[in-house]
Amino acid sequence: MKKLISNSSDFEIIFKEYYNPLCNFINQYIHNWEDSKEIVQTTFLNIWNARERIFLETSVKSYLFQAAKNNMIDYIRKSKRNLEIKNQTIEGEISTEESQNISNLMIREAIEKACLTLKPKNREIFFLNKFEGLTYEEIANHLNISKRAVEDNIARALKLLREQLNKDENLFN
Amino acid sequence: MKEKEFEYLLEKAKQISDYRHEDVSAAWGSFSRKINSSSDIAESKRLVPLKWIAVAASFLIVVLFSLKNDRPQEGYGITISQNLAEKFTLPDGSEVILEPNSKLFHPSSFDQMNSRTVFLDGNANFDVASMKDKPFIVKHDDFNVRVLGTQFLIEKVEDNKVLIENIEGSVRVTDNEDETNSKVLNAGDKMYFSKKKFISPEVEIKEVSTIASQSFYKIYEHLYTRTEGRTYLHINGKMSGKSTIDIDLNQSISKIMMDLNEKSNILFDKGNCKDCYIIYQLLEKN
Repeated sequence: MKKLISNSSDFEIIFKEYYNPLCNFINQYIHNWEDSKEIVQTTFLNIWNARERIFLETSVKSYLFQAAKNNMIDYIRKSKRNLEIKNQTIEGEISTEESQNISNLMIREAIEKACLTLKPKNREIFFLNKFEGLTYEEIANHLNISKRAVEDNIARALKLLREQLNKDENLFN
Repeated sequence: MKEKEFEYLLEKAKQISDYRHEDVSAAWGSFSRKINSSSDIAESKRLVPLKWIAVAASFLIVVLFSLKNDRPQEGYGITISQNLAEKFTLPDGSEVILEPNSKLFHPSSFDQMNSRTVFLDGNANFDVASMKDKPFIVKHDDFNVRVLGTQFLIEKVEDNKVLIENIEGSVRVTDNEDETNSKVLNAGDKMYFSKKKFISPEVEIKEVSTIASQSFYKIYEHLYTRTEGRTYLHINGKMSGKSTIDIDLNQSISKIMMDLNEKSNILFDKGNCKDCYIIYQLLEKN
């Protein structure tokens, strides 16, 4: 068993790595971004206050998502909302399906971070194509640029992203 | 990474719809203030990784020479920005955007000090919290900038030439070695400091104010083009493109954003560089 947090630098690294995926994970249930952030911050605050007592048997990722989910259930209870959201009963433990979703969230975060190294226009074109599903032609019309420019931008973005993601050792964990 | 692995990752990422990505440095900044007030992180949060201690130590030697007698007594924190610009909040609430490869050396608390003195090596944009009895002083190798509450930036243009641009309020820039050699910059003023001399930027022809009715789409297009895409609408952002307001597009980007803030229902974040804004919503005022 290892200690979750040995010092505040560890804590900052963990916070910055997991903050966005955790907020998005919670938001998928409660559909309220501000409350999702509040739940995640409460989770981190609890962890910080109990840091001397937290030793891990599982991975940091599993621990954090489970802790955030527990806090979300508390939040739902306290706000007297029904535990069934959108016809979906929330189970306490992280399910296999959720684990897959969490992996996808972590991958998405890694890609979002890598995208920050792209120029804004390059990033916008990449997002429109890969995540909004617009074709090269649609993007060209939307941004009033040539189709060739769109193709060049996508190729450049993919090359840079691949280089960035290569540096991320945790991506397949 | 092989092509197939990369494609696999993209496919996985696509399965997450409506993903929001917030600036984690800003989130950490506000969160660390929270834990600062609830626990004893104040001391430990300023611990720097070992690899920076050598850098900090050498930097400390440099700044101690320039400090003379006004050395603050509190412990110091150092913030170093590597490849990406970094936004963070100082203990007094002042906000700093530190540009890549820059260092800012600052006390962990200003409480016991008569001034709020920080030491900059590189480029930074400051938005200073107003404290009338405690001036905010940025010490640089060659000069000091002294203010009470304002927004300004310091940018190294070339070796031995630094640009100081004041955005709000007024600042006094003083030669480190000759206090009589100083200049006051008012809002909108820019000045180069090079080899102990203040140099005015080339006189720019000032545009006459041209307030005109513009659609939000036109305004956005203007912002996007003029900032070369550094100001952009978030991927999930909303804009009522056809609505119009009266606005002068010849003024600075920050002033246009201030006007929009006043005249429209806009939601935006300041990005990590000059004239960088992420717009989440640009709608008519109710």
